[in-house]
Amino acid sequence: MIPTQEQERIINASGDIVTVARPGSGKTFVLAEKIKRILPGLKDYEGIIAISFTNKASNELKDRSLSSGLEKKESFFGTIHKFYIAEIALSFGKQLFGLPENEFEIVNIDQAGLEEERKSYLYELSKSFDYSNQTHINDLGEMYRTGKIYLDLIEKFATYIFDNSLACRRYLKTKYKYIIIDEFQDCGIEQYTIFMKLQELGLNAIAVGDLDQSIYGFTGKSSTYLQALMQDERFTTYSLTRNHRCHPSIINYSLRLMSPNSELLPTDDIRVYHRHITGDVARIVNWIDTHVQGVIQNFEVASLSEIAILVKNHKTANIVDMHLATPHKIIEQSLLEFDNNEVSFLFDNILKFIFDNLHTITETIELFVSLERLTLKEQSELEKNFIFLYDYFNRGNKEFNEVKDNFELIAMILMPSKDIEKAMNTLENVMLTQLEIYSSRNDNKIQILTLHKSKGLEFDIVFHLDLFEWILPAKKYANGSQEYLSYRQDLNLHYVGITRAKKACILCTSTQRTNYQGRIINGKPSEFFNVNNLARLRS
Amino acid sequence: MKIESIKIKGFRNFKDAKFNFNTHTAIMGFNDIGKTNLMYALRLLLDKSIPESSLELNESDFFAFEDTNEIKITIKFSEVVEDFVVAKLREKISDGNEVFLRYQISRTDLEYKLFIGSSKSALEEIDSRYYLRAFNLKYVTSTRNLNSFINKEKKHLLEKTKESRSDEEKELDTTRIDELETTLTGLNASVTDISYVKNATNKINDELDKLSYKNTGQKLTFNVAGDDVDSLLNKIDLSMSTDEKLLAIGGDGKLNQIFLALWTNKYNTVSDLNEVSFYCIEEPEAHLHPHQQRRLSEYLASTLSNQVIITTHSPHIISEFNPNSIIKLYQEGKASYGANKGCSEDLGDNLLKFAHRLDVISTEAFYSSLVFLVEGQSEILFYKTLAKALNIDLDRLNISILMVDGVGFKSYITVLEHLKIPWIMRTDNDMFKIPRRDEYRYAGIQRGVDIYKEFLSGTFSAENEIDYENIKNFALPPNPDVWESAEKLIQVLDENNIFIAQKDLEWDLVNSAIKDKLAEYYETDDDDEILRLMQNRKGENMFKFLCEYAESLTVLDGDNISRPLKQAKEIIEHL
Repeated sequence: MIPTQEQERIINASGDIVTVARPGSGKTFVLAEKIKRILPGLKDYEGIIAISFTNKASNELKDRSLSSGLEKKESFFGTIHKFYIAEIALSFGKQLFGLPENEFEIVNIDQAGLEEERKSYLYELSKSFDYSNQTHINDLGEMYRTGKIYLDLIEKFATYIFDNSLACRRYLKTKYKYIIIDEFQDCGIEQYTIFMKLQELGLNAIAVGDLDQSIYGFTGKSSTYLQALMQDERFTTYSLTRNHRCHPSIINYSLRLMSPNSELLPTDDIRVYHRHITGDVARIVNWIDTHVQGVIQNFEVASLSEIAILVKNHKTANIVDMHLATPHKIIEQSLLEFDNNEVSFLFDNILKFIFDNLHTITETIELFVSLERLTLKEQSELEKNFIFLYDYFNRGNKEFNEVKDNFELIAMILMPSKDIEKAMNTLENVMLTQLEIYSSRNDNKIQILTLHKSKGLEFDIVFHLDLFEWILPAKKYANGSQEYLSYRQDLNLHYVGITRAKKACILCTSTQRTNYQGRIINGKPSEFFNVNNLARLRS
Repeated sequence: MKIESIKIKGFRNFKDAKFNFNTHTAIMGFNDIGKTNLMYALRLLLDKSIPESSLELNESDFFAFEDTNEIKITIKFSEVVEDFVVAKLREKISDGNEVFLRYQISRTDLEYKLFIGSSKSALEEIDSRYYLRAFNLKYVTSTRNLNSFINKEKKHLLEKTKESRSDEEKELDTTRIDELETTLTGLNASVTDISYVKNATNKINDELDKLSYKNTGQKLTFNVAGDDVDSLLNKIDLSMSTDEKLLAIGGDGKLNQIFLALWTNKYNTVSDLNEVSFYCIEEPEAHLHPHQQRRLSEYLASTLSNQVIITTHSPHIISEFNPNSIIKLYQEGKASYGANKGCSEDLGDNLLKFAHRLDVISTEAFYSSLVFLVEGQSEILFYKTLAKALNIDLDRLNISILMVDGVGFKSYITVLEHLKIPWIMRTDNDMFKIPRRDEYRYAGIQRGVDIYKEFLSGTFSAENEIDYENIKNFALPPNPDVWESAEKLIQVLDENNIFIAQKDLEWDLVNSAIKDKLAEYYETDDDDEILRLMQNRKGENMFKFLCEYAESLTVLDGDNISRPLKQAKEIIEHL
């Protein structure tokens, strides 16, 4: 693929950069190309830090950056939390807090089986942590020494250690030459601060984001920091505006949604539709069933998996799941992904290998241990077990007891010192209830997913649901009047939803809906339909 | 990155010893005191050529003279700033750029453990010496085999230059090699034509024919280095050429030099690789003439860009090192230790300047079991001759006699104390005038007392303190109090091996049992005259006198003048 001019400009740019990228503008492509240019110039012991929002996104970025067989050297591809854990907290914590007495346990506060009092204390700590408060710091030290790393506090660990360990800063500066952070519009203050501190240390800093796709405000993230970078003298701002993904009419609709004076691209065809169905949400689903074939033919859709039904919340997803006759699946994270446990992560990747057909055994192993550190005997043991599992599952079997030894063996070789009990339990659960998450990845099935989950993905056809007043944008009654809970966030969510569509976007509403109390009430179309004269841009 | 120190507990000669290192360090000490074992302790943790299986030490490696249950070897590194080491070791490096390594093995299960960390309290166990790829030790033993080393290095040397040819050179070489092919074929033809070469294999070939039909057509022949240029090039050998004439490579000394030159060349040209190397060389001086020894020492120090540690028996090489960079091993009880824990910053600037003026004779004293410090050349000549006359074998007892002429006793004693070498001294009983006053002092005794207080932590009784005050300033002639005080102090100093002459060597001799021989030699009976003549060209006169009258010195057996020698002998025999 040859870069466009605006893409080429960014790929060739040097110095500290902030790129404002619209949906479908080829952001991952540009990043991967840039990384490909950077890697050969690095020494063997050097690398880049490439931070993506999800594991999936970072795997994709890594795959695309290394696709031409480049050496990744000592580069880090992963989420910011992974980076904190691996390169700052767990390692340099030793120097500030002392050696931990137990194996590290990385867990969410609410999954740690703590007493209420302790839980609320920790939550309080994560919200109002004070770096100048010695008691807070001592608490961190205590937790570290007992091996308890709470994910909700990982940023505090990392920030404190970064600020107080000269050895840590020196290490990061020596090893890493670039810090690249994607989805910068969903950035919290700690991530922004560390990003800037790394830039000050001398790393080349690159931030990529889209102001209009900031959808994680509810977790304390905002696009403030992206904006700050755009104002910062040290950074050069570039834009990636051309949307290569969506049909021009979809682009027009999405841009006009955000700004009343957006430039309109010329187009003959309107591909954004509003369908208002009589009845409740189930009727919408029936309607979709009826029209699916027509849509497929009209727009030359190759497979059902190119069709997505986007919802705001899981309740709606379940309704769709219940009533949709056409083959479909709900996209969700498996429990193994939720676990935040090294061994679970390993099992998750083994299952992905088994069903994905996208990676080899070697690639999967190398996610954990480089081949040269394994003896020949170990390598052949691993291969044997991987192949056994591959055959077993692909024949349709799924008895946990028949495969648990194989999983255990693989874990013993790749991570000998980790406790596997928790991961084995989760695996058992997953094999009982969630195997289709893996097994039907590439199936011919309509994908049902939340707007949040859809970020970064694309489909030929999108059916956008939950576009009701009170739902999107969410509202509540307060002091006798109506108040938006998070207007901007919801607007961005809607924007994300629309821009997932390549060929057509169908906005669906119905005359009735079920409210939060379970009662059937009248459903009114969302305010978003009437913003900025959008009616003219849809049919 | 450099090795700052090593602490060895319970291993071979070492019960519990710490050694500090400098950028260039020389390890010295008697045979069997543990020099090689000290090196081995470093090598266990740092030498790639020691396989993992050798890390399993056995019973005999534990310190034998006590209930030793554990061997612990800890190395501290400082100035760890190299990029690739920082990137590889991550949090194992402290804020202050330090790293610690530890090897530990217990006698109960003989299972060894390895640790690494940014401080002694942050040591974490590791599975293997994975760090060796980033930093390691290169070791050369005293029993170097040049021939096998050369055989290995030959290919390496040839390949290196082969790779770095320019395109032009490659072309030229190809032409040359082609020409060689032709020459070789011609050469082979000529050689095999020589009748006795040709016929040598006839008999064998006849027998082969009888053995197997298949063998007809195949013949054994002698020829020059195979058929092709490649095998010829593989068989070339190194030799020295003088004025373009080939010789076999010389004697052991030359072999040693070649070896070390090859060795340093090999490791110096890999400086672009991401690896830090520390160099350990045992006895670099082997088979070399003194000047060449010094030259070698300087060569190693300047060529090898990284830390160098040598063990040596050579005073010539030691004289190149300032005392801050010398580890002297000594024994106490049954265990070996490093004097002053090895290298240190203890010896200040003045002493560094002084140390560099030490000539080789002086540094030989470092190897002694005891040093007898005297004023000047005459004393050395005299005492060496006296020792012979009294049957005190200085070499066998390992006693050196050193003069402090011009430099002063304190400087030498400081160095000797630093290296933990026992010493005794004899100084003149000088009486100097105090400037701008009409008073005098017994400077010699004062000198002795100062040394007693400073180096022997001597304390005086209250009485002696008064004595000391008395001799510090008095008017002439000295009154009996002063005499008495002087005597008392001389007695105290004598008991501590600080010998004060009656006056000075010449005067003492004139007033001793050998006076008549002196009178004979100088052909005068007048004491003053003899003295005057003796002091005129002291050394030369002493030398000549001693040549003639060596055996007569036996009469001095019971004299005070012989006491230092007798005392030295006793000290050695009681060590």
